[in-house]
Amino acid sequence: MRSFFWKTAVRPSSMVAASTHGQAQATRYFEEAFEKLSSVTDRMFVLLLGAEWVGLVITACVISPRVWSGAESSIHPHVLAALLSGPAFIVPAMLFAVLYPANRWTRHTIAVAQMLVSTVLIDVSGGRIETHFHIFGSLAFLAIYRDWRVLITASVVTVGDHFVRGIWWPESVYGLLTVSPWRWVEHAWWVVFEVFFLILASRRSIGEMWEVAWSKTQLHEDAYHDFLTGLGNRRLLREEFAAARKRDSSARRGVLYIDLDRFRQASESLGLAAGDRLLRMVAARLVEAAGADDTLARIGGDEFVILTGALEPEGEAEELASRVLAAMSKPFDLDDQQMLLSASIGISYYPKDGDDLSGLKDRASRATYAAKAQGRNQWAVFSPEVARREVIRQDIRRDLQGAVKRNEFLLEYQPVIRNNGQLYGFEALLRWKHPVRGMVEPADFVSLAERSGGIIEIGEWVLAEACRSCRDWQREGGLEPGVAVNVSSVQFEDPDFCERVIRILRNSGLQPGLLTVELTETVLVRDLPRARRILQRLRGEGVQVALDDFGTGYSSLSYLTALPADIVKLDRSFLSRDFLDAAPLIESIILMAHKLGLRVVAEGVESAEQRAGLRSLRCDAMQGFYFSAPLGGEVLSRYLAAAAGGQRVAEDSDMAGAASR
Amino acid sequence: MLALLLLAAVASSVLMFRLLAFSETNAQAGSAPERWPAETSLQRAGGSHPDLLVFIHPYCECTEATLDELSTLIPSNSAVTFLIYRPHDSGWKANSLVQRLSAMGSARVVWDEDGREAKRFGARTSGYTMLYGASGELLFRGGVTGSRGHRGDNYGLDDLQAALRSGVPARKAHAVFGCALGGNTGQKKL
Repeated sequence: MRSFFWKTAVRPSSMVAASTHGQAQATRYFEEAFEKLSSVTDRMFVLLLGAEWVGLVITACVISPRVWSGAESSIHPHVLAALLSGPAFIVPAMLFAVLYPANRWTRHTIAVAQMLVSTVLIDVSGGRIETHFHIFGSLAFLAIYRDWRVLITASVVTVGDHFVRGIWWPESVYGLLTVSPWRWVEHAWWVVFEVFFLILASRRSIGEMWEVAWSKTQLHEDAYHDFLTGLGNRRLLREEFAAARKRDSSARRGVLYIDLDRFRQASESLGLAAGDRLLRMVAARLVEAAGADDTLARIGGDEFVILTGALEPEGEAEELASRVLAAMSKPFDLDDQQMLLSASIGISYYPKDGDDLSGLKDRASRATYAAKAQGRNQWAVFSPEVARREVIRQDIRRDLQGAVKRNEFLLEYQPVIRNNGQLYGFEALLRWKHPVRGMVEPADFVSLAERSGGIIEIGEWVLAEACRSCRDWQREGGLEPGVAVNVSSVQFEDPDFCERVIRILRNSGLQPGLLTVELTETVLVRDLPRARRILQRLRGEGVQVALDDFGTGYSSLSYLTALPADIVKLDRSFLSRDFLDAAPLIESIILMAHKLGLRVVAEGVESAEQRAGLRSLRCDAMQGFYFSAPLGGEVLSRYLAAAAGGQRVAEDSDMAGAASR
Repeated sequence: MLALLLLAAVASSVLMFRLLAFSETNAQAGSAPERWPAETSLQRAGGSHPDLLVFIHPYCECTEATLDELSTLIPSNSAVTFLIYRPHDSGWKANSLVQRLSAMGSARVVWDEDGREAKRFGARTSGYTMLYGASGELLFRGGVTGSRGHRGDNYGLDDLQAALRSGVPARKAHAVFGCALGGNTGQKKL
């Protein structure tokens, strides 16, 4: 029935241009509706044919119950014919309707039987004209199927019957009103005439059924699909999972939880419209990477889930994850710029990791965190180890609350060295001394603190502590190194951010020019006018502003002019490649920054070659392990003492080591 | 499913063939003599009145329709004779149909023993109607119903009316729908 109607039925033109999924869904709706209509009509014909059989026998008995030949009587052949019509074609058609409902051969069998009932009735009545109306009634009834081929079958049976009888036995079909043996042509014409209009009506009606199916599909699309990307949503995912389980509950399936790396920052730097376009591109890449049996859904801003079809070999979901990563690795063309994105993917397996979608998603998302923790742009499969790490993550999240009050945080300071080797200042780096786990890296807790909002309190503590330390260095050592403090996006979005910084600075008594606030470009461009206002206010107070991690991701040189800053901090990624390759780019940035009156600080300097190169390019200052690791406590004091003693720290990389001794 | 379809198709074909074969053997109008036969024992109406003869099988259901049609037509200026077929030693007596004929005014009801008169007039089917003019010439022969037991307009009735009115012979004989009169003549029923 499916292929039959796909090829022949009238579909709305809007549907032709629809997606394959949409067409399949509309076809499903149409076939359901048509099957229902056919089944109901089949049942109606079972009743009708049964009633007609009884009616035929009664008619034959009333008109001619017995036939007399002189003194001998016998049952009239018409009565026998009426009785035999049952086993000959009425009962088989009824059986077809019961055994094979909604089958197209059933419809054709019923059509043949119905028209034969008409012909027998005409014959029994001696071709009286009234009984010919039965033919038209039968055709109209058959039109309920809305299957034009059934009407063709019916008309072929009737026209064929009239042709045979009209030519050779005209009185059996026209009675005494036979004028010509060609009268069957007139009868056939009227049948064809009616069938023509019935076919038109049927096709129109089928067209309307398609319209309804298509409307339902669109409603379904709206209810089950993500408006932005056209992928499925949570509801579709849930229903597809339930349907897949119902089909084969033992089949192995994978759930891939895909989280785009740093998408939020990218979206914020691009603007919302471009971000949406980027998401659509990502969705298209996912569709390309996924298989025909896989279900894709967007379940959050930049979070996607793929529910795979039944998996045979081990590692098939991992292969899909690799395909997704490969698809994401190609640049995305957005107007005049290219974007690079990556994704972290967590994988869980049904039924190994759970038998409900919610649990499987949860485990896959935990694996995603593991993938992110391993450096992003990779996949990780859920395992007990992943679960254990997730437990730790939850513990850290819990322990973060009140950590400031419990004085568990401390700051380490990484020296920033001038081009001439003199100490320029320090970058304050946060550390968490966990009472149980020991020293916890910022990467393990900062993002958690940002999500919980605890970063505001932590950031305030960092700023106050850095200002206090810097002021102490001034008082105790007579040095005036500046201190740079990193500000997260959550802190910057706080409406009181500016006032808070100024208040802390004033309370500390630190000279404002010694404080540098480091902000990443993506934090600033989210709301450029507001960012400009805040930076101007801070600079008005004498605070230095540094654009941190410049050169990563979405940096645009135009922001250098748009944002009131004092320092550009070249990202360490510039130095992670061959210095000779990166040198022209570094030089260009330095030259442009200098022309705009900005100083340049290079991060991640780890070798003498890099230092010499940066120096030759007139980079204003540098920091990195070549000069010193972040320092704290006594080590820092000794480092400061050495610096106060006039040692040129950059020329003596052993100084940090000496300080640590 | 295919076997069931084939079986149904074969059964339907046999049934239709039998029906058509049956239909084809009927509709014989008989062969009435062109003039009033001399050997008949029936008395003519006499004068200027034409004679209307109707041959009837008393147990033929279709003949009821013939009587219905004729009841609207029986002219006052013609002598109507119903000849009721009765086989030898059958013991048939007046049934409801015969009683109805008897009640039809001036109509004459005659029992036709063993169908002798039917043979003389060439009538082989119940409902066979013939009209002879006052001068004994055949004006009409055949049936006056459209089909089996069918009441309503038909060419036979029209021609009979025309012949009664004008006295001009009808151009053709009309098929008769009824049971066979006398013996197995090969006609079954129409």
